[in-house]
This record gives sequence, C-alpha cells and structure tokens, in this order.
Amino acid sequence: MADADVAAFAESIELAAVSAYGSIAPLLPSDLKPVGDLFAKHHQDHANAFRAVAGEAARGVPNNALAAALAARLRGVTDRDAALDFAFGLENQIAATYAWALTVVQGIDLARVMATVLPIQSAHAGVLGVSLGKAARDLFPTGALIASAVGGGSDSGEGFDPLRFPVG
Amino acid sequence: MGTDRRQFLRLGGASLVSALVFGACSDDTDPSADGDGSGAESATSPAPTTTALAGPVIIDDLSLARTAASLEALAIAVYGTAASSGVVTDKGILELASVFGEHHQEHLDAINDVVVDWGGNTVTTPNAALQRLLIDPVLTNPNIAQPDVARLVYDLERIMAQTYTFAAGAFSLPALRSTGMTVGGTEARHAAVIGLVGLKLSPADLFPASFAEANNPLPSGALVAG
Repeated sequence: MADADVAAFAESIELAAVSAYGSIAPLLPSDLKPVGDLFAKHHQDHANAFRAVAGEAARGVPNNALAAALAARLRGVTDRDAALDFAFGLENQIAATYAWALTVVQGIDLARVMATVLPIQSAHAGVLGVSLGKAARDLFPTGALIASAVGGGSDSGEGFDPLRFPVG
Repeated sequence: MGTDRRQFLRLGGASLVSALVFGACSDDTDPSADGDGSGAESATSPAPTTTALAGPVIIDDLSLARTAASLEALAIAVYGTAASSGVVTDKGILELASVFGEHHQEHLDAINDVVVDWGGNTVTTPNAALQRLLIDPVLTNPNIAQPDVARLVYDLERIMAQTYTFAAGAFSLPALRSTGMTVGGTEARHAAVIGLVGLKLSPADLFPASFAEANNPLPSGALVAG
C-alpha cells in the first residue's frame, strides 16, 4: 500500500470510531458522557490529520465494512458497562492497526502522525478499562506490548486488516 | 547544581516534562551526566535519518534503542524500589506497580533484542541522567509519601512514552518504528492508569491535546551511545 492509501484507510477507521462513540453516547452516564465526547473529538482530530496526509486518496467517510462490523457488535450493547467494553475493545484494535501500519508506512510524515495518534488511543483504552474496574493485568489484554497484527476484526487482539476493511 | 536540576526543583513534578524538554533544548551540558559516561548530548528535534550532534554521539537507530533500554532499566528499578519501600500502601497501586514492572522487563528484553540485532551491546544499567534529575530527588526525600511516588512514576511513564514517539520519527526503518510504538503505546497507557488511579486526575487532565507530544523529552546527557 502506498502511504496515501494507508492514510486514507486510517482516516476511514477514525471516522468509523467517531460514529461508534455517537452510538454509545446515550448509554453513558453523566460522569462518562464528557469522556465519550472527548474521545470522539480526538478521533475526529485524528481523522483530519490523516486526511491531510492522504490528500486526494482521502474519502472523508467512515469505513463501510468496519461500520457494518461495529453496528453488529453494537446490537448487543445495551448498558453502561457493555458500552465501555465495546469502546475498550475498539480502542485496542485501532491501536493495533496503527502498530501494524507502521511496519508498512515508508514516509516519515505519516509515520510521525501515526506515532502521535497511537499513544492517545492506547491511553483511551486505559481510561475505559479503569472505568470498567478492570484488574491491572486485564487493562492490557495483549500483555506488555500493543498488538501489531491485523485480521478480520473478530479477534479483539488484532487490528483491522485494510484488505478486509477497504476504504469506502 | 546544574541548570537542569535547578529548573526541575523550581518547577516541580507537575511541570516536569516541560522542564526536561527545556533541558534538552538548553546548551547547559553536563558531560558527566550522560547515561553511559560518554559525554553524550541529546538532540532538540526529531531526525528522519542519522544526525550528527555537537558531541561524540550520533542519534541513530542503535543509540535510540540503547537509550530506550536504559529508560526501561530505570523504570524497572523505580517500580522495584517503590514496591519495596513501604511508602506505597494502597493495594491497587502496588498491583499496578507489580504488573508495570513486569511490562518494563519485557520491554527491556525486546529493545535489547533490537540492540543485538544492530550489533550493539545490551543495556541493563538505568539511565543515569534521568535518574539524577528525576528519580533521586524524589526517592531520597525523607518526607516522601505515596502521592509523591505516584507522581514520580506518572512523570516517568509520560517521558518514556514521549521518547518512543520522538524515536518513531527518527528511526530509519518501519519495523523499528512499529516495535518502538508497541512499547510506547503501553507506556502511554501506564501513565493514563496511574494518573487516574494514583493521582485521581480527570480524563481531561490526561489529554491536554488530541495528539501525543513528539519532541525529545530527555535532559541533556541522557542519550546513550550506540
């Protein structure tokens, strides 16, 4: 994949995340609603940053395949804890997606953007995990390292494979 | 007392990262404070390829990896001291310290694998410059209390996360950038969890911006030669 295509893929993933946070917002209690809003804003800002790198390759819309997969997951999300757990898994998978993407990105401009985004997504997962009351070890579902493999989305220990989640 | 130390004492832990960034940008170099005794000096901005500094050390893949290893060794030592000091009594924080210490050991092993792959010597000694400026003033304080330890490890994790983000913009190979960020992303989560649990910070406090800082946060002399 060319860097512009990777950036466009990342933009589409971020926009799907923005949409997902909008879907779970009604399930969040008043103390966590601002947190969800803040994280959604981060994802929008990240989408904008990736769009700037993607240039003409950017589509400006959520990743359709990912949005569909997340919608299926969201059908079982009906309360606070389920919403937080959904977001915890999503943040982990997006972080893993970028750890993988950094192995294929050639240009330093996109690599730098990705390196400033990944820690934010990982910290999001930490905040969500603490809000869920997870034990110390469970806050890090892939152990000491962020996962760097991608797949079809069903394995929470893997990121999203751009071949399975094409832009558009 | 060097300028870095004076800045740290004046600004306190809350401004530590900023102070250390300032230290990295200052020209007040203490050749004795480097991580390996080489008189190394840190750079002020990311470099996409090998960058020559005023001193004898070059910022390249090997020196970045060896510096990262020295930070991991420092974190292992700090968590070990924190857990055994008796200062930390909260069971939840002690559990975090135990798990995070294990993570840093795995990080050290992973980074040293990179060092060996690049033909370098492994690093197991804590980073001397950061220990002198950040760790020692806190851990040698006779009036140290649990919040001081929480603040210390919070600051250390933030500095480490920022170091990996900086390094990702300086490593020459994609695989190194990825390896670094699989570690750096974990440090960022460590910091967030400690901030919430140990310091009772709000999520808004944890995210002053939408993007992680990418400048070199290390003080003068913290770079370890390749």
